[in-house]
Amino acid sequence: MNGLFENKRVFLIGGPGGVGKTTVAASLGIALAQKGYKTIVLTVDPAKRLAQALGFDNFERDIQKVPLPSPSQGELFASMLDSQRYFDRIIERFAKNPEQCNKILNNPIYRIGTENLGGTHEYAAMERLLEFSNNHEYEKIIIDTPPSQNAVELFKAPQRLSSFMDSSVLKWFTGSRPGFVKLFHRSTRLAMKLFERLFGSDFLTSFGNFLEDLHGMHEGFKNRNLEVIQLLQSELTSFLLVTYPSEIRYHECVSFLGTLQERGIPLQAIIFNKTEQSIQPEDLKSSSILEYYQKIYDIQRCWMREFSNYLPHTPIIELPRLPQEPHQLADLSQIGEKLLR
Amino acid sequence: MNFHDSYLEDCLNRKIIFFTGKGGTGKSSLAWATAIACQKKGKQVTVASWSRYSDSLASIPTFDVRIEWIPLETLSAFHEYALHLLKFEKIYDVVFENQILKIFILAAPGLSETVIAGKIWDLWHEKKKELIIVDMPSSGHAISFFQSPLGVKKIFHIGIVHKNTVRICEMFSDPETRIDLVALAEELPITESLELKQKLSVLHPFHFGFVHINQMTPELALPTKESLEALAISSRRCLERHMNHLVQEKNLVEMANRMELPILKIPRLATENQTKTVTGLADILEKM
Repeated sequence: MNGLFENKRVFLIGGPGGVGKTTVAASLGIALAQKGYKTIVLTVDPAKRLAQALGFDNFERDIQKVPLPSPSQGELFASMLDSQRYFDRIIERFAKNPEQCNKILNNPIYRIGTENLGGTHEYAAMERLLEFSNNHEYEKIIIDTPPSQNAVELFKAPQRLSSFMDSSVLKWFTGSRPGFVKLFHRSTRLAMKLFERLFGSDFLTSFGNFLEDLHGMHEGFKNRNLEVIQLLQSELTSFLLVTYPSEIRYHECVSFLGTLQERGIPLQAIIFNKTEQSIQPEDLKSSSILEYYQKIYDIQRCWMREFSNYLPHTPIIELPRLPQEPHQLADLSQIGEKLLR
Repeated sequence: MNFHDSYLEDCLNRKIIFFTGKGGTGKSSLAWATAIACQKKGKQVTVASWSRYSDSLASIPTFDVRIEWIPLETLSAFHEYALHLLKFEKIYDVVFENQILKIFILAAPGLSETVIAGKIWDLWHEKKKELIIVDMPSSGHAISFFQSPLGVKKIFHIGIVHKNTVRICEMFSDPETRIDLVALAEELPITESLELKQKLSVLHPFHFGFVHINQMTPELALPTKESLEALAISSRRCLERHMNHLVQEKNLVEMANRMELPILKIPRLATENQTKTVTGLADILEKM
């Protein structure tokens, strides 16, 4: 088995939307389980048939056992992230008492916030990862990262939430709410005035109340954020970038790698999904179709060279385009074999 | 407003078009290609987008004037907005030296989306902007975006933001506003578009336009029967994959028909770089 996979425990499968992250995550899960590991795959939003292949016909259970295509010592589990429900659980955990918890869960600002707020999925995914990682039952953990406009969001979300919950924000708001007689800094007073004009004073009151409800939870969020960072930087964690060899993906990848570097997270491998295969040169003249595919092949090779020039030491794994979208466990298992080779 | 016969004709008769759909389906490319095609017909086109890769596209040489590109970013949009209210840059700076405020603006539920929607409203309101094309973020974020004025209305009962949400909703449901969905001929993007249309329909009385099914396998000439036998195994496998894809795509297009919207089949182009892809797509859209 490839050392890339043998010596690591946590695999983050990242990359832009639509490149096949979930397929890669599921395939890797099957392959590792077939090698005898107790493995869990956390996915965010699988295609329906892929979800069925993984046993998510009913969404009642949080963790499902997935039957393996051939008998093995290992076991495969799959978990699908329901961000909203999961976020509620996070609040339950960090709340000091049931009363505080209920107050927050029933607050309209919280409801709208967790439904709408960018980064909720990302935060929930990272939090869930931490949970699986702290559970020593699982030998291999694979996490299919949420599709983001910008993959960087994954790392920023926990941090942003943590700073939002920062006690200084709380103090600022609760301490400077209208009706409170206190000495303010000039900027605070002006900001408050602006806020009132923009949002109305009743919003400030309810927002202040909401923040007051959150009081005392910040430590919890901050500590979890630190734990997430530690886990991501750990030697047992591996980041795999799934992408496609084209110009736009190349630029995305370069900018994304910058973010990984800033955070001290190494990239373990690049996985090119859905690549074309070359055509026999003598066949090219026989149809415009073959010429077309050869042209795509050439362009892909050209961008793959750009990627490897940029990252000369990063292993590259190639997964050729399949005749059909892989939905059966057997198809996924084949892809998984290719990954481990 | 009734649909015009052709895609381009319809675009030329709109004031604002939103491109939305799953991530990685090519929304930006199609948004820009549409912008180029419309500009060639003499329209003054503005593209507004979240995507940071748009700046490389903004320099695509077109006929006369370059297409104007407006990046949509929360803090700068808020800055503009607040400046308008405060009138003095200095006061703004004093207020916004405050880190906490920045955190608040980025994290307050729905605020970020509403501020951006407000920015788009400003563009829409400007007389000299003839056509605005908005390159939306992927489905989930797009829903939050269209939902935000409704959510914000519930949270902010009075104040300027509240007033603005009313205007923003008007813009969304204006007959000259169009929402296009972009998908690939793959299961997930199609189901996501179906869901997206359903979810969006509940939010506002939108005028949906076209479903773009991007990167379709092109229907090019196949080898003759005689030459087929002489082909190498690898070439035959390629043809087999090709045929398979055509069949699958046909089924998926049928599924997309459930949206009851006109479908545009956009072929996958064999182009070296993004600029060539976008200009190539513009040529195709021009004829649609």
